[in-house]
Amino acid sequence: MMTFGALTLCAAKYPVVEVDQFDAKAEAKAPPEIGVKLTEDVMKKLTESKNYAGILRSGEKPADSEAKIAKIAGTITAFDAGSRAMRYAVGFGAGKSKITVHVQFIDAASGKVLLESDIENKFSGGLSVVGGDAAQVTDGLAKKILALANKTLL
Amino acid sequence: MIDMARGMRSGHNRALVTLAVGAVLLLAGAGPFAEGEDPVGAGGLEIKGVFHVIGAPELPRGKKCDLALSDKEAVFTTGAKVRLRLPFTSIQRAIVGTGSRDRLGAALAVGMISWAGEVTALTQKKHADSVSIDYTAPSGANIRMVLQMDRPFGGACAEWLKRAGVKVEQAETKQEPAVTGATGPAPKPDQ
Repeated sequence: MMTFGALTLCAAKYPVVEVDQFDAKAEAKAPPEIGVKLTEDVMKKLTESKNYAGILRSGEKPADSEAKIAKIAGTITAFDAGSRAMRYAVGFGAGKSKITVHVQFIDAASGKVLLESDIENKFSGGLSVVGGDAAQVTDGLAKKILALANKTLL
Repeated sequence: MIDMARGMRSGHNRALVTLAVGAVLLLAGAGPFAEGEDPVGAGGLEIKGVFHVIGAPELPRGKKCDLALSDKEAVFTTGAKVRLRLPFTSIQRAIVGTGSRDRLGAALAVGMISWAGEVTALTQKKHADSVSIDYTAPSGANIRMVLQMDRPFGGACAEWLKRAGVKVEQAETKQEPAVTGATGPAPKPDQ
């Protein structure tokens, strides 16, 4: 996206991206807040990238009704919260949390799947306060989804 | 004269009986909440200290708020401020299960004294009933909010929503929360 004063030109193939609520498979045993946080993290990363003219939640209508819309949908297929105590006390990858998501990039008009992939991320605590919350595993995953989105939708 | 006195006495007795029956009904209605919260007014359920994990843009994330359920809507407040009014007609479904969160405050407090105590405290989780609510915002956006509340209020909240006509599901991977005797609004005719 290029900005000239008040005029904004978006060069993306899909200038508008709609992010569906990420659900979890029952066997993934992911608490519901993980799916919600992942959805919000993906929306935040897409907005911060400034590559897209509009980022929508599922159900929202774009300002420009003619704009091409891509939909990002995903399912959490595996989740392990790890152990915060282990991340804090031991470190070096002990007690890390893990998440795997099956994500799809879809042309909203035709329903055609542009790309689908299984993405995994791990969180070892890093510089987080006392080992960090397991839900922070979605931050890194959202970055990976953004990278795929940029490759597919720009 | 005697008849008139009898008539007055029987009228007086009728009033006393009516009052007594009313008091019994009121006490019966308050019974399920005697150990925890009191219902707000007639036909309402208030749950204090509901933890908003994530989801609703109007509510602070990871903070407590108060939830009042009437027969038409759910109202979320923090202090005296109404943050969100959610008509039941905008709710697509609610999912009830159990959730947990870290006792971070306690762990940090213990950590002032002992590092080992802090690590031990981190292994302890606060378990609560979890209620996820899928709703449509006025903008048309489909939003999911996740709430946690002390047991057994998740069950009471779910029962209330169910009687108000909201589709309520049990989380598949979690154990079912206890359902209290919350009365909820009158069931809809098609239920």
